[in-house]
Amino acid sequence: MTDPRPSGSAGRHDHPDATSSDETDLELDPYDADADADADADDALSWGDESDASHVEGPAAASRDDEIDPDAPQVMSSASLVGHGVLGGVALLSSVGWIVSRDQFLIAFGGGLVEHVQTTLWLTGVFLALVAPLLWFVATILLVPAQRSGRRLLVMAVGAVLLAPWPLVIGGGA
Amino acid sequence: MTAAPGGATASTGPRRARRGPRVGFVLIAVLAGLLAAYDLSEAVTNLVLVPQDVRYQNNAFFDEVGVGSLAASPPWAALWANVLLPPVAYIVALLVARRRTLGRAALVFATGLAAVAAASLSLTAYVLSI
Repeated sequence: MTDPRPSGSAGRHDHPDATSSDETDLELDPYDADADADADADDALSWGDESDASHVEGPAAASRDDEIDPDAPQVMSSASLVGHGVLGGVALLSSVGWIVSRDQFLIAFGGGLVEHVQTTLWLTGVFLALVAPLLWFVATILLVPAQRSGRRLLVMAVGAVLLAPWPLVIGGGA
Repeated sequence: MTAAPGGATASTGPRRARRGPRVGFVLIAVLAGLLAAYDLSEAVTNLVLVPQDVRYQNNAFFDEVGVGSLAASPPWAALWANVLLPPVAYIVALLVARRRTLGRAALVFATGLAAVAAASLSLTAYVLSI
């Protein structure tokens, strides 16, 4: 960006400092403003200053647009956002349901060493089951990119059905 | 007995390590596989023992007496689904976790095991409820 102008000015006027400085003053001011704007991440989109008639409100609005823009690739439709909220709430409630009904799964197998290992493995599984809906939700958020919100919501819905606290609904114990 | 799995792991490690530092991935995968194998053993136990329950042992007698409508058959679909669940979930988790960072691979395996645990508890509750 700055390369053509020094070479052009050097080609036309090498020695006269006044004209070259005048030209650079005339031409460099907008570019300098742009350079400052580039340096300021907040003003990246403000290409005019106060003298521009179409640019009244200026930096505040531009900076707000700039704050939204980094999120632009991840912005999803409001329907998708509502879906995320609903399915996240379902996951949370599912975990709550599992935790509420945890007592029927807390089994101890006995006193021996093998039974202790068995009990530990069983309780590990029970604990994983309690947090399964939330784990599924977090894993879906992390592993399925936000652009594919349809696939995300589908995976979340599968998890909501698969990991619902069915024992609480059915009423049977382990 | 412990030498065979150790040797298998040691032979798997360098083969993966040639493509990159994937020892951690192998360790996580083996650990998740052991836990999935425990889930599988539970499901197989249910598949063997539940049909031996006393309420399924009188079908021949019911037929003989003429009250065949009292005959009850074990919930084979749920029992077999419970058996198929751990290996299927483990394979899916392995495919999803491949080529991901270590933390995310661990999250995938943990989520798979958690899903198997929750679904197994649901299936068991269903089997016990009928």
